[in-house]
Amino acid sequence: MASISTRRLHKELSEIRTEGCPCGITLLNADNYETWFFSIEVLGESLYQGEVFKLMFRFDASYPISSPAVQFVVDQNSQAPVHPHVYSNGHICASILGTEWSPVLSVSAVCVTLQSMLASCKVKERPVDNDRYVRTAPDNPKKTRFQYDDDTV
Amino acid sequence: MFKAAGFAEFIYADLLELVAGLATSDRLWGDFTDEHKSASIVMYMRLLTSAHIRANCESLAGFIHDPESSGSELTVGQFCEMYVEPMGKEADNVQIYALVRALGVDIRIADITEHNTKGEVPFIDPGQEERSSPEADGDDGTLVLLFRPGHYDIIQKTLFE
Repeated sequence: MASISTRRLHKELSEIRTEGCPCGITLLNADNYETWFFSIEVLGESLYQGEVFKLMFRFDASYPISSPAVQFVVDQNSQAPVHPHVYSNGHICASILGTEWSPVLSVSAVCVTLQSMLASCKVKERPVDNDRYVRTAPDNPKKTRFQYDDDTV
Repeated sequence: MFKAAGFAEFIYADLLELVAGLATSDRLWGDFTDEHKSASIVMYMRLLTSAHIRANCESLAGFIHDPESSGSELTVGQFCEMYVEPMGKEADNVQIYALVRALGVDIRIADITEHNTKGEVPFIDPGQEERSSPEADGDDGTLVLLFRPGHYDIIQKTLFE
């Protein structure tokens, strides 16, 4: 029997393939049940008009009980959005990716939440502790314990 | 019930299958001790609790408050998203009540933190007012739990010869 996480991801993927992604989100690559890539942009008026970002989801065997590791891809072709909750290495500080993750959420739901996080941004700036965090950050953002102290952004 | 609560089919279908299999499962011990399966069973119970709270939001709304910040108002939906559906959140009275109603079981909880000077421990009966025999003592299928901070034990009545 396929594992619980594989079965769940298989269903999410078929739904994405039949129903399509939410507006502004495109599936780039989902060749396996470990790592998926999406492109994400904010439609309509926002500080990120015309910018397209790349999101990476990494799943372990306990998905969807535990959250996926989600971050923006930073390489020659793409950058992390400049946002008070996004570090320059692509790591994201969002409670639904940590303590408020619930198995009711899905890959699509995370994409939509991140899209609205960008859309509601008022000032394009990095988190205050960006340099310190990026210097010592683990490869997997799930190993970081973020403090969610600001609900307003 | 899950559909009415707004959960997508792909979220609960596998869980239903897993839990339905438990009733006849001769692998009960194995499933309960398998990390992923036992977590999925807990997740099923959480969804069931959430669906029941959402379905009965009118009668339960008055009991819902934010356990982490007193004073701030939460809607029933926000409460379920923040304190019922995520794993690892403690179940307070509202969740306990909703789950026993959803499962149709009767429980009594001995709350050891509330004992009086004689060492007697009061029982809490979630849903007692709807029950025909208020003095249930475990002989009628009522599940009796012992609550210590952070942990519940099942108490069973044993007859000594």
